Amino acid sequence: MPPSTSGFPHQRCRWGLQSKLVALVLLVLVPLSALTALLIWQRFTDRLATERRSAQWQAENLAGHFTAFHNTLLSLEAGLGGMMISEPEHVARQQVSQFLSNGLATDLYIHSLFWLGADGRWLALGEPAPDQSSIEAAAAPYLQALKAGQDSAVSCLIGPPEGTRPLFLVMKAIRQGGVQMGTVLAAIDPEYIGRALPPAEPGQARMLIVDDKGHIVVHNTGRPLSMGERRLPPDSIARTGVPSARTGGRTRVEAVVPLPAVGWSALVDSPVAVALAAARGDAVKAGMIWLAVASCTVAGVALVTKDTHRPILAVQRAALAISHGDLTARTGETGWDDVAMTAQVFDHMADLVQRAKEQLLAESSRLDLEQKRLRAVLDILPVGVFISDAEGHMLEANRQGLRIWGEDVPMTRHRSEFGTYVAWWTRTGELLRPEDWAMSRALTRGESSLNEELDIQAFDGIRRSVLNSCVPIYSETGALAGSVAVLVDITYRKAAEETLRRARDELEQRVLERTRELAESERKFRAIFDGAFEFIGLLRPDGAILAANRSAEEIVATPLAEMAGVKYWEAEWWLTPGEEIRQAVLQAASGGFVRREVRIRTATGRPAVCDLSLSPITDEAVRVTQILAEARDITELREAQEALRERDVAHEREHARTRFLQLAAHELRNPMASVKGMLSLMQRRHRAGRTVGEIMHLAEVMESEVDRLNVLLNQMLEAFRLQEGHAVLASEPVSLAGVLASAVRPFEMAEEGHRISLHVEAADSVTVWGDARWLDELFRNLLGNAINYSPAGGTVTLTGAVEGEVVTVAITDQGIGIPSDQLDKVFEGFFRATNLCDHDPGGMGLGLYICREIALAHGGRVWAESTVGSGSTFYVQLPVNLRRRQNGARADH
Amino acid sequence: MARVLIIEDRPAIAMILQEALADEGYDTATAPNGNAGLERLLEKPAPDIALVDLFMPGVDGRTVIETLRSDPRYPAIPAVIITGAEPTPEAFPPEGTYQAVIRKPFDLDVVLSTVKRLLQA
Repeated sequence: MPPSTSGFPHQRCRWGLQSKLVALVLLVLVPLSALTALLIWQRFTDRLATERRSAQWQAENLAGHFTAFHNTLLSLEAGLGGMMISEPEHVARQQVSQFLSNGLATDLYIHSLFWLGADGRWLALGEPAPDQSSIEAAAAPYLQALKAGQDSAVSCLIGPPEGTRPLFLVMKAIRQGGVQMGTVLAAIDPEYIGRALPPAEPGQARMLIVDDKGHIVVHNTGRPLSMGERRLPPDSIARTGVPSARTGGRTRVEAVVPLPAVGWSALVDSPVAVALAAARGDAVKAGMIWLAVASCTVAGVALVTKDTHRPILAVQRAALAISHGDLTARTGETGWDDVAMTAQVFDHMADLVQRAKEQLLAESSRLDLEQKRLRAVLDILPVGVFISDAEGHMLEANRQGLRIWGEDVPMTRHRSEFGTYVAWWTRTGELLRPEDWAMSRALTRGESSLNEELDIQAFDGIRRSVLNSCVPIYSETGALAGSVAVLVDITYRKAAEETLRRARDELEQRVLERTRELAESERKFRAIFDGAFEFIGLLRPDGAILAANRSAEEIVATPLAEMAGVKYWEAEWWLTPGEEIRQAVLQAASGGFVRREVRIRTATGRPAVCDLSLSPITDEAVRVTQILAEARDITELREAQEALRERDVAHEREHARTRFLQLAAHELRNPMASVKGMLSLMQRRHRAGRTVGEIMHLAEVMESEVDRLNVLLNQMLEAFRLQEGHAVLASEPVSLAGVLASAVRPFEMAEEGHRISLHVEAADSVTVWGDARWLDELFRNLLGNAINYSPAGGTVTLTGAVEGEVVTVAITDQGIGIPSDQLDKVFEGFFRATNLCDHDPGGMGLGLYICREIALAHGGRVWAESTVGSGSTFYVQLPVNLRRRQNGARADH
Repeated sequence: MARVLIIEDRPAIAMILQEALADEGYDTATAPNGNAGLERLLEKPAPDIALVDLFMPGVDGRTVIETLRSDPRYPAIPAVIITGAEPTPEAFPPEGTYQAVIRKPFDLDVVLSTVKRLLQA
C-alpha cells in the first residue's frame, strides 16, 4: 500500500518505546550510581575524620601521660634536693639510696641521678652513670638557664649517633630563700617509656614524643631505634605544626599536641590506608546493593517492555494500516492487562470507524441519489427554480429557469450582485434595485413573496414577463439557510391575453358589420343558390325535401312545390335503388359526410351519372338540423374516362404484342441458329472429307430442330389468334366434369409414374359456356406442366369448387415451385422461372400463355400460388352457366 | 490445345458449337445454364475462353459475365456472347466486360475465327 498523503510516520520512531525504557533505566541507574559513589565518599571522609579525631585524642592522652610523668619526676627531684641540702652529705646519700630502692627510680625509668651542688661538684646518687662526662657536657647549656633563674629544664635527646639507648635529662633547681642551693639531674631512659605504650601494629598509628630538635624521644614501634632513625624530616608536622605532602598530608593522618612545659610535642601518626580499608568494605557493600537494584530495575523494565511493547506495536501497525485506508486492520490482542485492553479498545474503535465509514458510504450514495432525484424533478418542472444560500450565492438553477433567463445565466456569489439580473416592475415600469428582488428581501428580512409580476431582460436579449415568488429556507436551528425562488414565464399568456382582448374588440366591431352584410349576403346567396349549375337541395334530418335550387327543378322537371315534403329517396328520378339513397341520408343525418355516384333519369328520359354528396349542417350543440344535398352531372366525364381506359387497354395490348413478337423472334432464332449451324458444319465436314455418318447424324438433329420450329410456329399462331380474337370458338354448354375427365385421360394412360387425383365438387351439375376443344387444351396444358415439374411418383391433385357464379379449378403439383416475384410473369410468353436450371423440361415457353388466353376468351382468368420447394397451385376460374353475350366480352385482367 | 467452355441452354446449339470446335481441335466443355457455367469456370484446368448465351433459366449470361469479372476467384479469360436477343442494357452486361458478340443465327466461320483471334491475342 502506498503511503497516504497524511504525514504519518511509516518508519519506526527513532525514540521508540525501547529507547525510552533504556533511558528510564539510565535515569534510575545514573543517580543511583552517583548516590552510591557519594555515600562511599562520605563514608570514607567520615572514617578519615574519625581517624583524625582518634589520633588527636591519642596525642592528647600521650601528652597528658608525659606531662604527669614530668611533674612526678620534678616533685621527686625537689624532694631529693631538699634532702640534699637539709641533711649532711652521708645522711642524704643514705636517704636517697633508700628512697630509690623503693623502686621509684624504676617506675620513673631513671637511668641515673646526680646532684650538682652550689660548689659545682657533681655527686652521683645511686649507681653512677657510665658516662658522666657526656651528661655533664649535654647539661651545661640547661644549667646556665637554671642559674639564670629558670626553675627546671629538660634536655633534648642525647646519645651517640649509632647508640640505641639515648637519654634525656630532667633538671630541677633547688632553691632556698631564693638562693640556688643545687640542682638535681635525672637521666631518663626514654625506651622504657615507649614500652609502656600500646604497641603499634604495622599499618596502625604510631605514638611519638618528639623533642625540640626533631628527635623521636618516645615511640611505640616496639623495637629500639638508632639516633639516625629518630630524626624526623624537617617538614614533619611535629616540627612545622602543618601536615606536609611528603609526611602524609594525603596518605597519613597526624595529630600534634605541644608540651609547653618542656617545649616538646606529642605526635600521633596514622596511615590513611586504615580509613581506606574501612571505607573499601563500605564500598563493596554499596556496590553489591547497587548491582542488586540495577539488576532488578533492568529485569523489571525488560519484563514491562516485553508485555507492553508488543500490544503497542500491534496498535501502531493497525493504526498505520487504518490511516492508509485499510479499515479492516486490527491488533488481535486478547490479553487482560491495561495495554492489551487498550489494544482491544482500539480494535473496538476500529470496528466502530469501519461501521461508521460503511454507514457514511451508504448515506453518501443515498444522498447522491436524492440529489439526482431532486435535479430530475427540478429539470422537469415547467417553472424556473433558483436556490441560493444565505448570502445570495446561487447554488442551483433548473433547466426551465435557465431557459427563462436565456440559457447563459451568470450565477451570483452574493445578493449585492443581484443588479446583474435586469428587471422592471410590470405595474410601474421601475427598474429593480438589487435589494428589491424577492430573493434579496427573503434573505435580509425573511420575507416570503408570491407571484410578483416582473418584466425581465433575459441574457439572450429577449424581454420576458414572469411571475416571481420567493421563500426563505430555515435550518433546523432556525437560522436562515438560503432561499428558493420560482419563476413562471407568462410571456405567451400575456401575449395571448392581449391578442384575445384585441380579438374581442374586433369581433364586436365585426358583428355589427356582419349583421349589416348578412342581409346583403342573404340576397346574394339566393341568387347563387338558384343560379348554381349544380343541383342543390336542403333536406330535413328525416329525409324530407325542404328546398331545391332552380337547376335541380329543371333537371328533373319537377317544381319545388311538388317535391317539398317528399322523402328524398322516394323521388321518381332515381335509377339507383331507393334503399341505397335512404342509407346515405341516414348516414348524413347521424352526422357523417356521404359521397357516392348515383344514376338518375333526367326530364328528357336520358340516364345520367351524378356525383352526389350529403353534408350534415349542425347547430351549436352539434345536432344535425339540415342536410345539404349536392349533385353534379358527371355523365360526360365518365364517358370520357371510359374512352381513355379503353385506349390504355388497347395501347397495353399493342405493347404486349410488340414484346411478344420480339420474344418470338428471339425464340425463333434458336432453332434457326441450330439449323444454320448444322448446315454450315455439314458443309465443312463434307469439304474436310469426313464420313457420311459423321455428316448425317447432324441431319437427324436438324430434323428434330425443324420439327421444334414447326411446333413453335403453330403455338405462336394459336396464341396470336386467341389474343386477337381470331380463333373460332364455339359457344355451347360444356360439362366441366367431361372436360376435366377428357383432359386427364391421356396422362393416365402415359404417365405410370405419377398419380393424378381428381376431385371436382358438384362436377356433374357444373356447366360452362364455351368451346370444349379449347377448354380441353387449357386443362391439358396445366396438367402437363404439373406432371413435368413434379418429381417421379409425385401426386398431382385436381379439385374444383363452385362459389356463386364462378367455378374455380385448382391443379396442385409437388414440384420445385415458383419464386413469388415471378408468379405473374409465368403467364407471359417465353418466360421461364429462374430456378429452373436443373429441372428444365425444355418447353417452348408458350403453354401458360395460351392457357391464359383461353381462359380470357371464356370470360375467366388464371393465376398461380406457389411455395418454392414444395409445389405450385394453378387456378382456373370460369363463369358458371353464363352464356357469353359475345366473343369479345373478355374479362380483361 | 486451348479449352473452350460453352454456356448454352439449347442442347442443339451447344452440340453444334461443341462439334465445330472439336473439329478444329479445341478441347471443349458445355454447361446447360449459368449456374453450371460458373461451376465449370472454377474447374482445373481453367477454360481459356467462354462462349456465353444470354437468355437462360436461372442465372443468365449477363450475371455469369459480371461474376466472372468481379469475383477474383475466376480466371481472367475472354468471354464471347452468343445471343439472338436485341442488344438492350437490361440483357447485356456492361461494355468492356466481354470481348465479342455473335448474333444468332450465327456463321460458324465467324465463331471459329473469333475464338481463334481472341485466343491468339
